[in-house]
Amino acid sequence: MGTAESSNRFVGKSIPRLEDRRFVTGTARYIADINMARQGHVAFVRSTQAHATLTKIDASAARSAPGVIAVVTGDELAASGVKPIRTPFATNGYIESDWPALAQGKVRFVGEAIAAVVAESRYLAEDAAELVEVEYDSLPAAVTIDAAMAPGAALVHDHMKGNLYNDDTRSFGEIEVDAAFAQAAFVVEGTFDTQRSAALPIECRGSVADYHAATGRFTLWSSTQLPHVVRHGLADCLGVPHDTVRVLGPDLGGGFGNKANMDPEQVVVCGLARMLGRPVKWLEDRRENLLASTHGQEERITARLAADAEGRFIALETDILLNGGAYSIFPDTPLNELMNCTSSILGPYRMKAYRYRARAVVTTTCPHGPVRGVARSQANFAFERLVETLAAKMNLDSIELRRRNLLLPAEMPCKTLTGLTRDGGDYAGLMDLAVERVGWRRVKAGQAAERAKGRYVGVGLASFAEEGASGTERRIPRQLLSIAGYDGAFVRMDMHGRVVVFSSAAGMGQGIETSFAQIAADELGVAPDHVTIRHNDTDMVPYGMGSTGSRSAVSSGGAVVVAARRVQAKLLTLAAHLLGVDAAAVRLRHGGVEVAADPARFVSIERLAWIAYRRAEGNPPGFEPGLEAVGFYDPPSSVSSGSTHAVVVEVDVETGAVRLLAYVVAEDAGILLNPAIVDGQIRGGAVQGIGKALFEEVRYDPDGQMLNASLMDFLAPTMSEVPPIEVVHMITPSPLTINGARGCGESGIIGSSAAIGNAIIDALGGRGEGLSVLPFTPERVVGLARQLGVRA
Amino acid sequence: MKPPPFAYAAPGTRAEALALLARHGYDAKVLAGGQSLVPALNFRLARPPVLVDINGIPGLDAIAERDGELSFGALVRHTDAERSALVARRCPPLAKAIGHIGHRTIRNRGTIGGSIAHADPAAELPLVMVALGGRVNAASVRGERWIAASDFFTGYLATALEPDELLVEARFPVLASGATWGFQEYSRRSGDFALAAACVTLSRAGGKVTACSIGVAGGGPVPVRASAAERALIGTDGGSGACLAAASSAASGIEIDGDIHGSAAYRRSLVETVVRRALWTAAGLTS
Ligand SMILES: Cc1cc2nc3c(=O)[nH]c(=O)nc-3n(C[C@H](O)[C@H](O)[C@H](O)COP(=O)(O)OP(=O)(O)OC[C@H]3O[C@@H](n4cnc5c(N)ncnc54)[C@H](O)[C@@H]3O)c2cc1C
Repeated sequence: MGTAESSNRFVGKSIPRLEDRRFVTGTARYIADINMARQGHVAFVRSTQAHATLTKIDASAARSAPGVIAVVTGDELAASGVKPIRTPFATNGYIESDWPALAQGKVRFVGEAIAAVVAESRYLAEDAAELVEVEYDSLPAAVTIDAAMAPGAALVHDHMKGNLYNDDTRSFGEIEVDAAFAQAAFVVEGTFDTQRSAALPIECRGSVADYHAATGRFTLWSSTQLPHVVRHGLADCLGVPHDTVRVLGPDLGGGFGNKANMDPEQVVVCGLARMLGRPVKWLEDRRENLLASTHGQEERITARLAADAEGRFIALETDILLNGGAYSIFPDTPLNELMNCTSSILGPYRMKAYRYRARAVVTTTCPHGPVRGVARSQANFAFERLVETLAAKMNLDSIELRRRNLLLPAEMPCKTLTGLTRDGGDYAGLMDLAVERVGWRRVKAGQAAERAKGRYVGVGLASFAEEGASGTERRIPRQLLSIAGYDGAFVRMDMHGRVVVFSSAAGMGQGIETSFAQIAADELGVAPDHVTIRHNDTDMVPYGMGSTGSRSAVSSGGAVVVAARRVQAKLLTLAAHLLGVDAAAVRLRHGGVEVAADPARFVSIERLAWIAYRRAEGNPPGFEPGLEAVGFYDPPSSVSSGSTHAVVVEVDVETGAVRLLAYVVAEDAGILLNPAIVDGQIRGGAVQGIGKALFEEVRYDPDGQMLNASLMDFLAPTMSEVPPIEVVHMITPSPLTINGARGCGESGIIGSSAAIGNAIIDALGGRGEGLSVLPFTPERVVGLARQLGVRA
Repeated sequence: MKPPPFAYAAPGTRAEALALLARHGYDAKVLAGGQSLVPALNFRLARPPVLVDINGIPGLDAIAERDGELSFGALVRHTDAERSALVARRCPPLAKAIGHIGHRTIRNRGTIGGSIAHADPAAELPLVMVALGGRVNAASVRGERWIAASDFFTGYLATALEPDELLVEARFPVLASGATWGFQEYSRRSGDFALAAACVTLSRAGGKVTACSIGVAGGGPVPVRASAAERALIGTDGGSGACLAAASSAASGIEIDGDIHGSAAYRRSLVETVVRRALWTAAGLTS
């Protein structure tokens, strides 16, 4: 649909990505490329036990090994003034876990950092790390939710009784939940186990820290999505004023939530730089990344859904358990995952009553952190599987069942029972679009004939609304005390009319250097390639949250609008003065400012910029020199992109292999700043979603040893496993955001598990039940085939 | 993930390489394509004090037919064998199997000799060698000896090679005239090591199976011949029922371990599936 004047605007066009020249020519600069004179290289000694008391750490042999600069233990780091990581989170009895950046006294997961070896090279550091002798006194491991909650389970933290971070029960709605279930015509229920996943950025984490003793200033180059938040956490851990810490990052090779935390390793390298008076560099290797960065999304969702005789949803009750790992991550804690799960599970549907119980369980495993999707694909999996079960029970087409429950355009904007804003779009229309594009009816019509030939083909879908870009209004009740909900931008047009934007967003491959340039170009009458976006530097960019939670287009992009409009106002004032007309009589156009009623009267941007700086031809009275402005944007509570994923699969009933024959995502992300970039986000997300549905799972043995800490055994999908992914858009501008955009960074991943699961069940001739455990490994698929009596 | 310290030698001749292996014995490891050894070094799973890089030795990269066998120098890269017209014509199951080894970049670097010497239980080349009855030539300062495939693979990542021996040549019999073949593999993703793989050949005369071989990998520590299944198939019409029975016999007759990618029971069912599919392909039946 677009906007009327869209043809002369850059927003909405798929212009080529401005940052790609350096990426495709191999000249991007990543954290590995940052080097300081005299830097020491860090290798960590990491725990080989899941739960143990540290009885002795003997580093004497390591200290005298070739090239070793220092070996630092947890006690020594603490003595230098480094405090444990602590995440304040003031909600319903949440219990914090202190996380020493290097273990002190006890270890709580395999891979926990125990000591840091600093040497002249990483090779020498790893050689010396092997010489550090650690003696453990083993304690019982508690790896799974069940093991940690079993009566008599060993306490991971003495002060966290029952191994729980929290135990939260809440009810919502105009009617009472039990009463709603009592009067329901249909009730369906299920328990869904979603696997422990890894975010798996291609570039692992890494940091280079420098400390300047004379000024007391820290500089940390780090591969991070949240520079300001990391600075905040670091300053607290280092015990120094925030303004003495600068966090900056070069190009990021992906994040996916893995870099949306302040990590112990970041604290350690800063502490080491201060202790040693030398810059210190640590590059995470793949094994460390899989073993000891963060894991996520291991949830058990038990849900009951009540519907009336027509299948209209009345009430939902959920009991959600999250494997929260050994320590609480900064800034999200495991509770962010739980809150996303409890709130997003209501989906794009109407619901009258809802009650949840949510608990994050402490286990002796790698700490829980955000992974793209953050519980929303898990919640969607549980709910959309229940929708199919209900449809089967009612003997109703599940598309029709969804249609009866999806919010209508006329009902929006509105809030869900849990307070998420559904701000418009045609949810049923999106479902129809996905169903049509994937060839649903054709596949269904041909299914029996295919089966007669021994081919098991099925279709499945999942509908959802991705809430993203949450503003402070939504952040504050969530008590995420360490992060606000807004972002900032500083815009400078120089005396030649070229523009630099300093953004609080973090570029991690998602194309902000292009889409923000398009925004600024439209607001300032210049071409996007005359706009440079700078980011990832706390000393340079305004305060703001950074890039997580599908927020950059809306929140940081909104801040660019605000700041650029301030500069635009100066351009208009100056132009009106030069043209001798009233300020209200001029308007911006590409390349300059014109008199609205007489466009032939025009001043170019270049001339305006020159005059604003050089004051060559006299500025209007009171006109401040320069063309610079800062602006902040605090998005609405939340906005939601409606979406449906629809897939066609073929199942080999003997091997359990699942082949994706077609994959469609229909999506309404509002105004698309750059449609090609949005499509890239969605396709990339769907690839990760396919990984979660079919391949990826972090596996531990009962003793807490990770079984697949390499890419040989942790299976991420490759191009061979990924079908062409078709993305179709409806464009309903968000009425609530400054640029009409919604967040869509996670929409690609949210519907995958449910849609693929539903399709596998359909292919095997099942209805509703089956496949409640992710991922759908071939062995599980074969199991379902046998259960349904299907044999080749 | 950095290797522990090692000394590095790059001999320019076979004689120098053999002398180095004789001198260092268990302390030395041959470096060929590095596709298995280098990851093992980086994980510090292998810690050889000395690496003997054989890539500079001339004359180890030839593919030729000799007396009813295809001969491969140890340094023939997988890709070169995969693309060889001779291999495709004279030993098509081998060409097909090589296409399943890892990804293109791995096949460009990895060597025939390295794959066989490494002896991964799920690797394709050891399977084909066992199925077809190939052999390897091992050279040392003590001389040369031929080792039959059936004696070569002795256990999980273990072979009959002595520490001072260099695998210099591998031989695979050409496909018997009139014989048909099938190769089937199942892996989680394209390019992964097989969860189960089968390589079979069939010869028929007068409507009866006169000879057959059934090789199976992915279940136990080494690729094996399913000899009971082979015996049962010989003399039958080689039709779909006979293939089914042979596959089931092959699956029940071999040692199978479970791992994180599948339980033993699931893997056993996979073995049955790949053997049956391979036999059906060889027999010209469609599944
Ligand atoms: C991601 C990935 C996927 C892979 N997938 C597969 C797969 O699906 N199937 C498969 O079969 N392989 C696979 N491989 C392994 C690949 O085929 C290797 O090339 C092969 O196993 C070893 O060959 P190489 O030449 O690289 O040997 P190297 O790695 O150099 O050596 C391997 C071992 O063999 C020894 N060795 C090598 N050459 C000789 C010789 N001439 N004489 C004596 N000893 C020798 C070495 O000392 C070492 O112990 C994969 C590898 C990777 C990295």
